[in-house]
Amino acid sequence: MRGSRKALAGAAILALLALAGLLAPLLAPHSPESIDSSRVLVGPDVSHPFGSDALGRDVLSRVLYAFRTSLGVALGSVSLALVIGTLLGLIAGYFRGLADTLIMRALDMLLALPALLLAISLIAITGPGVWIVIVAIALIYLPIFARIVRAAVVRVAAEPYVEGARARGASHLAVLRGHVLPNAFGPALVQASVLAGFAFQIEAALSFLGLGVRPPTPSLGLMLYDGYQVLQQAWWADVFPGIAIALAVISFLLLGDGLRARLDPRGIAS
Amino acid sequence: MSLLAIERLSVSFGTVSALRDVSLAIEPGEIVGVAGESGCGKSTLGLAVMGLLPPTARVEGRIALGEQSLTELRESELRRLRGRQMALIVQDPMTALDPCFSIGSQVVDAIRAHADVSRREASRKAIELLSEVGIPDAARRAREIPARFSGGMRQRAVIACALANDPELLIADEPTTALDVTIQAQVLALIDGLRERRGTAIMLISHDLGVLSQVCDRVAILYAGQLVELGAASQVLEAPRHPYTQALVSAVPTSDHAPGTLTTIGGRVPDLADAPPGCRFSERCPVALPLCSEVPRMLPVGDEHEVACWHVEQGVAR
Amino acid sequence: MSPRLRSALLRIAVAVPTLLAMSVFVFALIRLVPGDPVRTMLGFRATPENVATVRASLGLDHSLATQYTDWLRNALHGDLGEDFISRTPVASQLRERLPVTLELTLLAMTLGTLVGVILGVASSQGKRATRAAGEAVSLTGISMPDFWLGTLLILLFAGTWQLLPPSGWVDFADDPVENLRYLALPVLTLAVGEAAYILRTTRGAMLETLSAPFIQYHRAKGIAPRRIVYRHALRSAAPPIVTAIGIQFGVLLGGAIIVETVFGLPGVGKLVVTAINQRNYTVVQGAVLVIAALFIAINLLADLASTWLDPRSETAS
Repeated sequence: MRGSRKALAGAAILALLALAGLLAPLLAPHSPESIDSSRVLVGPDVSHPFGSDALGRDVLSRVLYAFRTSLGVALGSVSLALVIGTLLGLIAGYFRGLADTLIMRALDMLLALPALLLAISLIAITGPGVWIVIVAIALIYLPIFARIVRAAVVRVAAEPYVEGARARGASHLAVLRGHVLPNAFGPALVQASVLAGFAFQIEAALSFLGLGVRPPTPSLGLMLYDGYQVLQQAWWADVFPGIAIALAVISFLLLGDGLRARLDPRGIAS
Repeated sequence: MSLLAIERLSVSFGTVSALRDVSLAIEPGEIVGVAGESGCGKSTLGLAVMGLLPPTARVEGRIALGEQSLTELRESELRRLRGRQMALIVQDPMTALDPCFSIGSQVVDAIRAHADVSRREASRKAIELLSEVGIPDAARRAREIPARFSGGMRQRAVIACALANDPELLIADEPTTALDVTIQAQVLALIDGLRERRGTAIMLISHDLGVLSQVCDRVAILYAGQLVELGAASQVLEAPRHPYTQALVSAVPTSDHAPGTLTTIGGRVPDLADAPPGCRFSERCPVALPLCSEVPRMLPVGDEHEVACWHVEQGVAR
Repeated sequence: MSPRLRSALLRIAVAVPTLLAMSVFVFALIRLVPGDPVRTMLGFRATPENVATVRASLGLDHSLATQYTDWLRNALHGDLGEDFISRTPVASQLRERLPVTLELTLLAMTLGTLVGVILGVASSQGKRATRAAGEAVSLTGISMPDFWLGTLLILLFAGTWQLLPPSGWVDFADDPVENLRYLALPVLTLAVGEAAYILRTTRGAMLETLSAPFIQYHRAKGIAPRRIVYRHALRSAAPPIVTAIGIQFGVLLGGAIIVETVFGLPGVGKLVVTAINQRNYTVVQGAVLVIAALFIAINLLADLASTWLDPRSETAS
């Protein structure tokens, strides 16, 4: 009961935020790029509820567009990690043996670096950019998904009905698709929701450091950097994008917590 | 005056009535058995006396230990009695001991929870207690954690904890159920010996009538939260008067039974959220009367032998 | 050999290949840069002589295997190569900056753990309202990007109230009080997230322990509730909390990279960011190596401590 209420709250906030991001072109009162020298660092008022930044751009409009970018990065990186991680976890958990050892040991190595350092090292090689940020975050998440799916697979594969299906002559692929995947899916989805939230934070950190999304693409992390530059004169340029990130993380966490009660009763994804 | 007096005790959890109108007294130095099937309220009775029921439980009636009315005490006052005047021995010694602390320190903790003695003094007494309950080489083994102890040895350690402050009343909830048969007999002998040496009164909760017949002075039979029969162990177990007790006693496999002739009780234990209004055994009772939808009283049927059954009441009236 | 010792040795043994793999990754960093890493690195300084010097000093003319073994041997001897921009040894730069990062992260870890455990225990107790409050606090702490929280703290403590300096650094040896004044905000910034996470872990572990039968039996012995919670339940809940502290140290190190940048602290984190922006790859290599090794070491320590604290490890086969 409590779980589903949480999931509902998370999903509701998330839906609102996502809608606001998707409909940014319709909702934004101003163009996110339009520079207005008469409104440099002017505080919140009726026409600009979140104030305007150092170039006189409307902060609300920029938050809406930036949220779209950050949400895209979060969903993109999590989907990428989910698909590849699930695949690797399935192979490792179902066939065990050498494939298992190789895959899981290799993925463990990714966990040996602090997450942000791993992303930064990758970007040190390639240079910054939206796509690199997505890949970097996916790389951080990959071992997490692979572990969850592998654990679910190992458990399910030991069930008598899977053995039964094999004995009836079902192919590996059929068993994986019919029995193993549905069981592994719940825990992975719970984790995906939680990690999508944290992706907002990683994107923000990377972009803040100048190692993530590059201007002119708007992103919440870049806005935090701009806001940091004018912190003492214009709190609004820093505070509103930060709140947007925190809200996104909270709603994804709530959604994950709520889904856990329903999809992952054994708590594999915790 | 009785050491323990339970008067018209009812315990319910929401709509589930776990105990109804149970009255039972235990005299100093006496061993009273409480028997019945699982879910009949035996353990609830023990926990109610200890004041360890979960906060969701609704308790009515009165429990008195000596002069103190336990049901009127605050939690902090109750805590000072637990382990000092009344102590508990639980069913599963595998999970009752703290896995992170040595056996000795757990007994020391139990002693120092109530007695203002030095750690050294408590530790000396703990080793003494562990020897008393039959743990060989107690001084050395006191330093080991529970994981290094076998089930029987753990139960001895639990008993040592319970004895730490020489309580007047010991509540032993299925103390032998989780143990091997050979160990069972040893632990039972140990509990029996406590009464001999220390004069401890014991409420021995068990589903095993054989166990009860070995050590109990008196036996109480619970069915679905109702007390149905109470009396000297020999009378209740050898000449039971309540139809349920009769069925229970004849269901115990003995060596006299021919193979393949195990007796069972027909029907099922009632749902305690929706128990019959009168005698709760009436649905399964082979000799039930229309009257049985009313609650029968406990009536004496002999010296120290009481039964709650309408047949008995009618017999007395006649 | 006792099971506990065996499991400890096993964990140490597993850390060795992890360290080796990490070293391969760090070694490969420069070699994976697309194009000619030396020219990228030197930029406008890429005169033919400079390029030749750097190539020789990186050993790029040898086979990869030789390059790696030479590099690893030097690294193990404390020689992490040369910073080709400032022409100083990378190792000496790291030696100067590592204490800053260590002081920052270890103080944040200590503060965050203390607050997290205390609040976690408190929120595992008591009424529904207390638990809900604990959950709300941890959710808020976890959801805020740490460096953003840092900027808010600067706004309040350094801007509005003018209590603490917004950025800069004084060595502890030079002036301990000033050192702590400069560290106060960055430590607080990192500690909030740490505390929130440790709170969550502690509450979960405590709730699980408090429902264990042996806790009920402690109550039956009449042991004081406070003692049951703080001595017995917390002791049993300790292993997962300690493991979490180790894992979370990686988050702290990642946070240090950005928090050092925000607060202008001369630590390894700020060094690595500057070095990446300058394409100063030998410095990047050295800094990544040091941070990663630190993380692996702390994680190993936490793992060992957690195993040692777990009574099951004593008897497990």
